[in-house]
This record gives sequence, C-alpha cells and structure tokens, in this order.
Amino acid sequence: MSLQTAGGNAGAPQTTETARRPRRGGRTAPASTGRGPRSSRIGSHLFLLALVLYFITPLWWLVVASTKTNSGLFTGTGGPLWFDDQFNLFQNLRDLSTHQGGIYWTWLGNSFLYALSAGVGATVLAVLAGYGFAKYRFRGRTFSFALLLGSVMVPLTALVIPTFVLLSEFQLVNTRWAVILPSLLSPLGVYLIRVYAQDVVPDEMLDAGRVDGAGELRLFFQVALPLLRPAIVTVLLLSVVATWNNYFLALAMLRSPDLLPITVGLNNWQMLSNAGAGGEQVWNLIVTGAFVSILPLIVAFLSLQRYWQGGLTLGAIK
Amino acid sequence: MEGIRRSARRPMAVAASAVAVTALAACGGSDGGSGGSGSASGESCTNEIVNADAPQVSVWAWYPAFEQVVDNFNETNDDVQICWTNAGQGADEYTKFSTALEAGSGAPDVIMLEAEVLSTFTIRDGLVDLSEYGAGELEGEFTEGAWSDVTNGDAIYAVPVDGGPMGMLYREDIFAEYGVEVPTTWEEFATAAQALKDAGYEGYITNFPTNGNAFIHALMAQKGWEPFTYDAAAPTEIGIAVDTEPAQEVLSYWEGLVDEGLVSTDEAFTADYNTSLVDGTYAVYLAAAWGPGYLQGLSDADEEATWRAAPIPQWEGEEPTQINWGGSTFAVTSQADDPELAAQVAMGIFGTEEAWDIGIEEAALFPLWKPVLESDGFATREYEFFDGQQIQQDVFLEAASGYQGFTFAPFQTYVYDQQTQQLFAMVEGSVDSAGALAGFEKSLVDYATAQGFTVTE
Repeated sequence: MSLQTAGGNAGAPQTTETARRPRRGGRTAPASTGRGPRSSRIGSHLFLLALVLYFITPLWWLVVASTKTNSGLFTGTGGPLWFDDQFNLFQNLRDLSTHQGGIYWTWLGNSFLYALSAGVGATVLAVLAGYGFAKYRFRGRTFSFALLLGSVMVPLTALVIPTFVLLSEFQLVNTRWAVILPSLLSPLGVYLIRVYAQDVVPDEMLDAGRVDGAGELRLFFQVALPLLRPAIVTVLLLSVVATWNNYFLALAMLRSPDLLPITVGLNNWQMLSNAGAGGEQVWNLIVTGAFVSILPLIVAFLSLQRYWQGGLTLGAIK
Repeated sequence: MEGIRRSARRPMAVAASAVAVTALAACGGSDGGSGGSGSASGESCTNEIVNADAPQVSVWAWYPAFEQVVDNFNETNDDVQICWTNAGQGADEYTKFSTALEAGSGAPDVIMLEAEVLSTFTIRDGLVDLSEYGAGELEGEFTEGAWSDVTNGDAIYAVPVDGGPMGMLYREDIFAEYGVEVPTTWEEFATAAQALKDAGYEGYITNFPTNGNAFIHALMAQKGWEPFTYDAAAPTEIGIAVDTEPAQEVLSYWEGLVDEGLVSTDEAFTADYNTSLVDGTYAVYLAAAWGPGYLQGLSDADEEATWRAAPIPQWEGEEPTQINWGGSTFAVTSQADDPELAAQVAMGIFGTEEAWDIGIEEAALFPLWKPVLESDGFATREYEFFDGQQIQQDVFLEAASGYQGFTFAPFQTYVYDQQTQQLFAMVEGSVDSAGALAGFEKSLVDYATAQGFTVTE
C-alpha cells in the first residue's frame, strides 16, 4: 500500500475518497429522513412527485401515441396524453413488420449486435486496463492515466470525422466494424474500474495470494474479478446503453439500410415523412418503433438491477 | 518483497498488453476479411440486380417509390445496372456525401441532390460537369427554370427530376363558412385574413414559419429578390444582395400580418404544425406541387375538410411571377468510376414514361421532364383528395412553366440558418423586418469574407 500511494499520482487518494463518499452517504441518508418532521416530508414528497411526473410524462406520451393511427396522432380525439377512440397498436406492430420488407427488425437486430459486442468488448478492455492501472506500477502509468482522464472529456462525436478517414483507409466504412471498433474504447469505463479496483481489491489480499503461490492471472481471475463484479456490470450497462443510443457514429459510417441501427433507421423514416416530395408519412410506425426499441433497455436495466445495486454495499473490507 | 513484486508485475503488464495486442490483431484480421468481402460484393444494393454481367452504377436516392423505378430501369437496360442505396433524405445524405468527399472515397457514382445544394458541392469539386457527356442535348426537354437551376454558365451539374412549383391550397369549407372570398393577390390575402378573423374564425389564414428556408426564399423571390450571383467558373467570387427593396417589402408585409395576429409563426414540419395543417387551424397552405401529397399523408381520416388548389397570390400591379420550392436532381459525383456511364444513368433514370407513371402514382412527384409534364394525361389528371379537381392544369402547370430559376449560395445551409435566426428575432419582436434583413445580409457578408470569398454587391 505504501508503494501504491508513494508511486501513484496525487489524484489517486482523492479519487478513492470521492468513490467512497457516496456509499457512506447512501447508508446514512434513510436514517436522517426518517427522523425529519412531518411537514418537511410532505414537501419533499411533493417535490419527488413533481419529478416523477416530469420524467414519466414523455414515456406516457410514447405509450399512448404508439396506439394511434397516423392521422389519429394529429387529429385524435383524446389529445396528446390520452388514448384515441381507435386502438391501433396491433395494426401498427403488424405494419412495422411489413413496412419496407420488415427492415425495422433488421435495425433492431443490428442495434442488439452493436450494443452487445461493443458493450462486452468495451467492458473487457476497461476491466483489463482499469485493473492494470489500479494494481500495477509501470513506467508511464501516471502519464497514460492522465491521458486517459483527458480523453474522457473528448466526446466520441468529435472524433467521428477523423475516425471515418482512418477507417476509410482500411476499407471498413459501411461495414459493421465501423460502428463496433470505435465503440470498444471507453475511457470512462477504465476510470471507473480503476477507482473501484483500487478501493475494493486490497493489496494485502493480492500479496497473500502471491505468498500462497498464485500467479498473476489466477489472482486476476479468482481474486479480483469476483470483487469487481458490481463495477463490471455498471460499466457493461453504461457502454451498452451508450452504443445503443449512439446516433452520429452510425449516421456517418453507414449507408446501407441493412446495416443501420434503430436510431438512424427511425430517423430516416422521420426525414422521409417530413420530406414532402416523394416521401411517405409513417409517423405511427416511427412512434411505435421508438416504443418497441426502448423495451429491451428497460428489461436490461430491471433485470440487472440487483447486480449494480448490490455494488453499492459491496467492497467493505472486513 | 519489493523486488519480488516488481518482477511479478512486469511480466504481468507485458502479458496484459500482449493479450490486448492479440485481441486487437484478431479484430484487425477479421475486419480485413469482412471489409474486403463487403467491398467485393459491391456496395450492397437495396434492389435486386437483373443482369449480373452488366457494369453497375451506384445511386443514392431517398424516395421510397424509387425501388420500382430502379427495377424498371434494370429490366429495360442490358448494358448497365443501377445499384441503389437509400442513404437518407436531404441533410442526412449530404452529411455522408460530405464526409466521403473529405475522405476521398465512399461516395456513390450518381447522387440525388436538391437543386439548392448543387453549388455547395461544385465548389468542393464534388460533381462532374455533364456537358461533356451530352447532357446539353437535354435542355429542350425541361422547363427553363428547371434547367437554369442545374446549370451554371456552360456547365451542367445535374439532371432535373421533380420540382416544386408553388400554389395555394385552401380550405374551401372554411372560406365558405365565414363568407370570405378566396384571395388572388397578396393585398386581398391580407384583407381576407382580417375578414376571417372578424367573422369569428379562430384559426389563422396561414402560417409564417421562421424555419421556412426555401419557402421564405421563394416568397421574396416572387417580388424579384435575387440575393446571390455566383459563377462556378470563378468559385471564389460571390455577389450578395440580400437586403434589397423586394425583400424589404415582402418581409414587412408578413411582419404586419404577424403583428396583427393574423398569421401564426409555428415552426414548419413539427407535430404542432402538422396538426394545425389538418385540423382547420390554418385556412391556407401555401404549398409546392408536392404539398398535396404531404397533406394527404397527414389527413387521410379527416373527411370533413374540403381542400382546393388555386394559383399562388400575386402582387398587385406587377407581372405575375411564379416561384418554386424544393425538388430534386441527379448529379454525377467526382468519385464515379466511369463518369460517362454514370451520366448515362443520371440522364436515363427518369427519362421514360414508365418511370414517371411510378413517380406520379406512388410518390406524388411533380415531373420536370416535358414529355410527361406537357402530356394531356398529366394535365387532366383528377385528384380525389381535391374532389376531382384537375390541380395540375388549374395551378401547377402554369407555375412550372413560368418559373425562371433561382441562384443559391455555395453555403446555402448557413444562409438558411441565418435566415431562421433573423426571422425568429423578428416574430419575437426584438428586431423589425428592416433590422432582420440588415442583420441577415451582414452575417452572410462576414461569413463569406471569412471563408475567403471576394464579396461584391
């Protein structure tokens, strides 16, 4: 440990501190609100209720709108936030499957492919790099970690054009790799893993393992990985969601309709619906398509919830 | 202890980086494979290739009904086949084309572009001059205005496809209900707007969208506004005369209507705007020839409304002037493998009556190709949406033949952005129409100068 702090950069202890703080706060918070006077609780409940309404309303709109016909969306009787007298959800879903030869499901499949492969790939790289940064001293560590922190600040969007030129050199534009490869890098993920690993994987434990004769790989897989699981799930979710929602990269890299993810595909329909000349208006399909496309993410978050929530209490050194 | 740790760590770091490298190398290897096969199978076409032996020309176009047009072309041509990709509509496609030009590869052979962006790409050497490939012979097959929009000096940068000559679509039932005459001049239009309001109509006679881009340009052009002079032969010189009398008169006219609450100022192509179009909030839709198709797509269930088409209002005491809003062309890109073959395709896609049957029937396109444009069948075509009115003969044919063309700037996107900003400030009341035009002109002159143009009046 002494080596760690002596050799590590000045920022390391601080980041450890900030990583620990929310967890402490999380444990004490319920107790303090429980003791508060009743009036302030009503106030905070009202505030929370307002927030819930604020965040739920767009979602509610989407649910309602996906049951409407094309003209019902604009001239429906129930207004934007209530159902029309015509319930068209199933017809919309059927049309979604047949419009342009059912290309919607191809897009959805592409989104899955991109999000999962880039998500898993980015997580693997982030875990390897983050663990390395946290637990090993090597030449240039401070510098390369500073570089990494700097690159957290650079949005992927800003790199799209240079990436395009680079990939076009390798004839990779308009292939699936053009979306997957750039999405594999997740500086924020590396940072999170490093901070987490520094905190929950004690050097003493690794040293004990070494004394018992475990190799570095075995230490990584059998000691560090299980401890890192909450962080891994968090980084996985973050990178899956980031790739799923990434719009501009796919817009710039891909042109074949068969390769598009759902974000760009739906936008194509929207542009066409707006185009007037030679376009066709499929607003109902766009809305229903958007509704269907968020379902997998909701499922993913709910089903993985216990893992990343579990992470909040894990990591205490007994 | 320290020594042991160190020695233990080094190999680990090396091993980790070795794993990373092999992982990357593995990716790289398989990339090369799939990339290679990707380009070997040609650009993956959306359509089926009929004659596999014939050379292929890649085409980007966004009309969904284009699929049938392509099939028709491929079935009737043995010597060349179209490989079609829908690379997005308008701005989306232009972004891709731009990045492809930047990267030096990735553009198609033939690309669908709106006439207004042609000079945006000629200035970047993105398009091929088709006059070398016999496009000049087509001049007589298109209207004067349509031809002038795709040419610059002696150079021909695209082949016109469809156009947007403008007319006025109005709700006959609303005008009848409130006993107001349908206007034929802009002066009558303002009176009618007031009369409708006085009679208790709760909507607006029409909408003045601050993001109206080409629509606003067209309204000002009707009074003789010629904001840009640009010659592709001298690409670094541009004449900018935005803040001129025609523009001032037109804009102060609309400013008056907005100030009196007679027209709304919703942004175009939003959900609110679409709703207002079909629910009777607007009594008039100032539209291009593709407008009826747009309207129909929105209001298929609203049977109460009776829509009619009439010519666009004119300014009193002036020669009737026809204006255009939108439309598309086919251009050959500078990355075309075989420009001659590509030019042949660009000229041939919509050069048959069969193709136009599909274009008119399926996509509600307005043809600029004279053999179809001037045919009886098109003129007397009855539109069910207008209860059988022959809207082409009544309105749009004359509008198309009277249109004289318009010169756009080689940075038209920026022009539209500035126009939107100034108009928004105007309808919000923070500047008047004169101030908006002055600001509009200044921003363009500053921008053009900064971009290295020599700016003249």
